[in-house]
Amino acid sequence: MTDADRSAGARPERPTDASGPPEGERFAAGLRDRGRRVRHRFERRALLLFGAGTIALVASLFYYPVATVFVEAFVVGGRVTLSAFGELLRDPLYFGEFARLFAGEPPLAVGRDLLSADRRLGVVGFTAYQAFLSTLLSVALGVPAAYLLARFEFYGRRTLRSLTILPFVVPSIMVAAGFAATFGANGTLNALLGALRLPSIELMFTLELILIAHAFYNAPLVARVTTAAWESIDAGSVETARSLGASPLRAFLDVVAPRLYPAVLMGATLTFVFTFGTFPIVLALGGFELATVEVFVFRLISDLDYAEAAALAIVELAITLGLLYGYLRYEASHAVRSRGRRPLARKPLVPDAPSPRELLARLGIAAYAIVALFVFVAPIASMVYASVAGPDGLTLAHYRFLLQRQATGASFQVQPFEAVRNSVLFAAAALALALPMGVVVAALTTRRYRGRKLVDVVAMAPLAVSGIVVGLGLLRGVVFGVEVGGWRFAAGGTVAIVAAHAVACYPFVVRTVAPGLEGLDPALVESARALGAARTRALLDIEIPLVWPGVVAGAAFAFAISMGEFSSTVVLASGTDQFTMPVAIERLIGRRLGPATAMGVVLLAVTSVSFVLIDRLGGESFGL
Amino acid sequence: MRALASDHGGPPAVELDGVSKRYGSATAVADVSVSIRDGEFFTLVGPSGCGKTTTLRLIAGFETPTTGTVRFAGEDVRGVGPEDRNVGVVFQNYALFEHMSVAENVAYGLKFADPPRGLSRNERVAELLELVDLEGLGDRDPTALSGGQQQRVSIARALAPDPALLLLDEPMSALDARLRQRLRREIRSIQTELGVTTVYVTHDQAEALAVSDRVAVLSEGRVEQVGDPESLYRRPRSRFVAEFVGENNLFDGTAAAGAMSDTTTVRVGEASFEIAADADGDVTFCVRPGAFDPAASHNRIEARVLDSEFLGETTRVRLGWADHRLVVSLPAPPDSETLTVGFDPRDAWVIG
Repeated sequence: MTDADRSAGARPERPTDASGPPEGERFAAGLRDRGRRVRHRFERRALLLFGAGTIALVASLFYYPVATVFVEAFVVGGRVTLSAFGELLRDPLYFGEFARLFAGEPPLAVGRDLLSADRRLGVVGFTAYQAFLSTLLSVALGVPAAYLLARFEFYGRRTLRSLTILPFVVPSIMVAAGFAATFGANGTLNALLGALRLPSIELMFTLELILIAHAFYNAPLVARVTTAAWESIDAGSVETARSLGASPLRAFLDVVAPRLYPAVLMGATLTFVFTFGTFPIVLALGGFELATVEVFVFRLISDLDYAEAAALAIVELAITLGLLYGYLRYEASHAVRSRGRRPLARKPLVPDAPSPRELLARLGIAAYAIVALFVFVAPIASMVYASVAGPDGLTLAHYRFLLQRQATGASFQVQPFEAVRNSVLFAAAALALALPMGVVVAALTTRRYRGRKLVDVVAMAPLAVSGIVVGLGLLRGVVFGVEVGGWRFAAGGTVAIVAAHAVACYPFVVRTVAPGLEGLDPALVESARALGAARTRALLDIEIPLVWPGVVAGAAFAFAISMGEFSSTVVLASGTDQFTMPVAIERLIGRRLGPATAMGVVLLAVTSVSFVLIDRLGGESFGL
Repeated sequence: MRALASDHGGPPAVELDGVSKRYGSATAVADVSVSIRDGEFFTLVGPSGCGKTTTLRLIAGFETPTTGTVRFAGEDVRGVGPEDRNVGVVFQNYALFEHMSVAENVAYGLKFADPPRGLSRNERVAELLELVDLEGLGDRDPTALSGGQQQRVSIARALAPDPALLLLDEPMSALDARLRQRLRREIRSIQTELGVTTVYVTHDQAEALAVSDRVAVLSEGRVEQVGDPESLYRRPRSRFVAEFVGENNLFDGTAAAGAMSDTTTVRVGEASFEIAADADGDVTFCVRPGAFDPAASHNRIEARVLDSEFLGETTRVRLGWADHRLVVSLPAPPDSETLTVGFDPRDAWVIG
């Protein structure tokens, strides 16, 4: 017995009117009924079908290509071996003095050499070292911002708080363009110093510049999570501590600070993970002299040394995942979930009756504001300025250049118009793919069933794997083609780039849609189902309209991420004409700053529109 | 007057046959078997966690039984989704679709089934809004309505596709006491008018007695007793039912031959009572608070007055007698520290 037969049986027959409607009407009703049954039967299975389709898509566009890359690290000359890892670990190029540890030297001797001035860290060690410094700087710049946002009331505070979501949408290559425009040899900083008759400074290709760029990117993240924690503290708990005799400082240390540590740690961990896997910023601002692991992976791939690249990417992934896992364990045991019923009252930024104490705090904020202006505002302003600056004053020449079909005298094959067009087309196509994928995964992971956590992890993994590896996997697995039973399946580079973007984007759709779905009363869907709606119909009629703002925010996210995607695109686009703006910017930085910054401004505009959409519609519900 | 459910000898509208539901090691519903007759107002009542809501959800198809069978009109409905069971469900929190107007909410189920009696969709919606006293409010936003009105919309929405079965899950818990009483009378009268088989879940035993044709009392996932409200109240078959349904005074004692030919003597501690029942050995009997009377000639006991609550029509007095706490209902508050009350042997009911 099929489901349909059974359900027909389950519906008790109703006594029909003896007279009944005329024949024609009955026929029409019969047709209508038939159509409804067919649709109903489809809708009952549609969610599962779409779910299976999404999983198949993620499997063929992410897991399979990535697996083909990782396999390289284990198979040498047709034999399965771990030798690639062994060589990697003992190679001082990667692990510096630590490599001697892996090679079996006594830890004491290695430890002594590590403390000496001419220690070598290797690529992995350097990557961790710069990530650690970047994290320190991001925390140092982020926590004061959280203090300002959580404890003071001033004009524009809400906007400033919203702006902390920007790191998720701002393309890092655009940040690099901004930093090149500010700190480059002919950047605004040197122009300023020249005007003041001071000697110019060269910051390009220095560690300092990379650290500041990382802080630009990650301090807002630290500020965001810390502000949220600060705002969740109940004023009553501080007042209780004060009434029991604690001084303001004591109350802060005993009641407020313990609630902030987990948030700061979360921000720091995420910063470390992000900066450990940093790629476009270092590639554009550091060059190969300051190469991080990710840049090295890219270089190895360019040199066609796939086995070593794969082994290095796996080591990187293991370090990143290990950190995240450790953090999640910590969070699970320390999370304070209670929301403050009455948040701490904000003080006006301009005090009514200034006391020395209050003035001191404001002086600190003023000093911080100057630093923040330098780090956060100057790069963007410089980029916008550089995009319209010409030798004889303001000009739109750089923007006109973007519209040219063929760059004149371009020795490095950047066709700016194609790059702009490709970016928009790829982003639109990636969005069309990522949006349904994200919504389906969100719907599948918000309901409780066995194995839900696994589906969640499998669906979110694309966030953790390096874009370069995804790009390479797609290049070899999809563009070069797969042979299955004598048939060759291959897709063009365009398809591969769109696939890479969709895979990179859809987790963000999941992250904006899922919290909304999670917050819906399950009785809503149950009501719809009892009224005759199949599961998919209830999703379309009830859940999606109710979480619509989250869907739009997710779409804006996806579009912005795709526009700014660099890592996998640069792998897939090399040697083809499928350049996108981020790839073009990287080529242009240091060669033709004007067009690079003009493209940066175009990216900034797209990102800003996305940001406004996300902020208005779904910023608060976003899972970070 | 209550319209009695028709028992025409056909299969019951809903039948649970040895149904259990386990979540991991926790058992929510344990071996429940009940038959719900066509057109009946059937209530599942019990304290929180007794499995009444899970039972309702098993009937609706939101949950699948771990073991046992659910039948609709004799047909096994395992594997049939809630959307194909032709049921209407009303939830405690109304679960109205906030992005739709009141009329769109009511019309939602008509997307999937034609309105009955050849009515158009709009006619059916208007008919139902009138039925629940909300005519003219179809264009409103559901959130603009009061709690009671929202629940009426929810009822109209559930009834619109003319379901074979109406399921109500604590539909009035979120409303205040006065509104609850009014709405439950209205629900009952709508049900009587439409004759739709109804399963009603509540934790409020007074509500259950007031509206139901028959009631199933649940405790810890099991059915304690099924019966019409009066038999549950007068003839509880378990200690749990005796204490859960209405207030009661329980006495544990040992039976011996009665002093009168049609009574049994039960020794309870130092005292002995005459009750009009056949009993032997250890017995438990119960006496309702209203059966105690200072003027009664039998079973008189002298007890300490602990406190009293004036309720208007009656006064509820708590008494201490031996190591028992008794509750009696008197016409007026007592004016002394001790009180002598008795009860008729026929007002005692032996449990079990």
